[in-house]
Amino acid sequence: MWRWVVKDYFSAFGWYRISALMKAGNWFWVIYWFAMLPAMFKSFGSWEDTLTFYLMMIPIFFCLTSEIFHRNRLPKIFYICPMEKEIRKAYIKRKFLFSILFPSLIGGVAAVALWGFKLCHPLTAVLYFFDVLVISIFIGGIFKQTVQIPENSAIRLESVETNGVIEGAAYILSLIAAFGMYMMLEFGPSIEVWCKWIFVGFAVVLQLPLAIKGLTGWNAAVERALSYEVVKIKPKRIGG
Amino acid sequence: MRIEFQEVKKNLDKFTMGPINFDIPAGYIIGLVGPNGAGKTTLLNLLMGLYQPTGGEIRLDGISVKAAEKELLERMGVVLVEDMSEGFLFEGSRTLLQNGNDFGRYYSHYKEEKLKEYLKRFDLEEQRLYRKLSKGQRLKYQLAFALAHDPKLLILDEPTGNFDPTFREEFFRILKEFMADGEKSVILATHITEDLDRIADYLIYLEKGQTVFTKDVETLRESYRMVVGETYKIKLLAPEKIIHMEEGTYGTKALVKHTRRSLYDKELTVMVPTIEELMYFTTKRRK
Repeated sequence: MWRWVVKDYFSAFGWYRISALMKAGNWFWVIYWFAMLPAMFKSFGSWEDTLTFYLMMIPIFFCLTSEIFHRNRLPKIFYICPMEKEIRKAYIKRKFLFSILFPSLIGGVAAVALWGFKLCHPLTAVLYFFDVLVISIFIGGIFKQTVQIPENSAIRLESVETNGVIEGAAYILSLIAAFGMYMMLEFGPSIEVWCKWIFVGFAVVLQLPLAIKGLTGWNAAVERALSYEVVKIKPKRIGG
Repeated sequence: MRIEFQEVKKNLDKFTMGPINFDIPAGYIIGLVGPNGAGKTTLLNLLMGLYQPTGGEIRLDGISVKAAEKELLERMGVVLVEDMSEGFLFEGSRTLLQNGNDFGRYYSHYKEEKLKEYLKRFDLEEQRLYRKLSKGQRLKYQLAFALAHDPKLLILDEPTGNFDPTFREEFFRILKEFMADGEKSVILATHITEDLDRIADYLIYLEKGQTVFTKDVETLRESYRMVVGETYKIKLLAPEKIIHMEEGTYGTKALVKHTRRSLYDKELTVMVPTIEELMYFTTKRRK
């Protein structure tokens, strides 16, 4: 079952989905993230700064965007085959888990690289990994319950109308967390270690509730994924 | 497998279906026809338990679809055109045999040997990866898999348009073999009404979520005639018998309710209507 979960995850990044998103004007955000932001933070000054920026921002960008591609549903054959409900549940739970683990793994690799190349303080690398993990859980949890990419744009619009506030809040909070961490790295060498611990403490206080919030709706999301009708037709609503 | 729809309704976003009523005994090949958006796939989804009806009840062999999803799914074989936004139906990177065994284990009557036999018959290599198959071959594989677990009801959602002419013949032969014991049923949703002229025993004609007619094909054929000839001669028929009439350059065609042959002028050409003619003229009348 894991094998299909993994394949299901990667096959979701189909070109037709990427192009649909890009057609909706999202090129701007890609350019903003990878060109304008590093310029604003003066990350093109040296190769170390540039490498640091991209090592940190690529995994976070992936965390923030990858869930858009993953619909809270089982492959159609799972609805057609006479399976026990428990088998379907197990699949969807593994799918959820993988959607957190994989972006976190990318973050982990980046954290090790940052540490290994001595691009940041070890504490920053640990905090960075913590950040990626929390963002994955939070964004994953929120997206499981709210916005997906349905087959037609009408449903998509309805989803955004219903859940746009939550979606926006999720993004903003995650971005604050990510930028807070990035700024700490930027100013890291000039501040004391105790100051960094305050940053860590602040991040934990801010982000742990987000992660917990991301996890709380999972059981309801699993139940919804068991119904083909719900995943095919109905837009997702918190608690709905 | 006996199929009963009792006052079945389904409300979707911008589409309302029903109430649908029919009771079709086992042993029929049921043609499900209607224009795009008529509700054919919705009806099949209701039948498979993928959608829950807003009202009414669906029973298969007397068992409510709502009550026994797993038991009933085991008796169904499904062939449907893949919606690529949902990905492949089977696992793309597994071979045909592996896919069969992976999913066949959920069906108590699945037999690997039977799958191999059908793969050979359909000219599909069992070690081929599913994603390497063409659209038509993927439908053939779905059919092979469905037959390998010996279903009582075969649900076919518009597969024939993707079959090559040679396989279409084979497909009709297979359906006849499948139906041989008189206990099984096939429901075939299609736009290709010529297929239904050849094999359908029962017709469900849907339009905008409503059934226009649900009758066995023989009764339909007995009840109507296509009449071709001069307009004034057709107009001599009782107006209530004329379903719809269309004037053309070389004469007029009309679908009429048939009672006896002697009603028609001897210069009129009177024919048994095809399913396409029945659908077309009935739809025109409704408009």
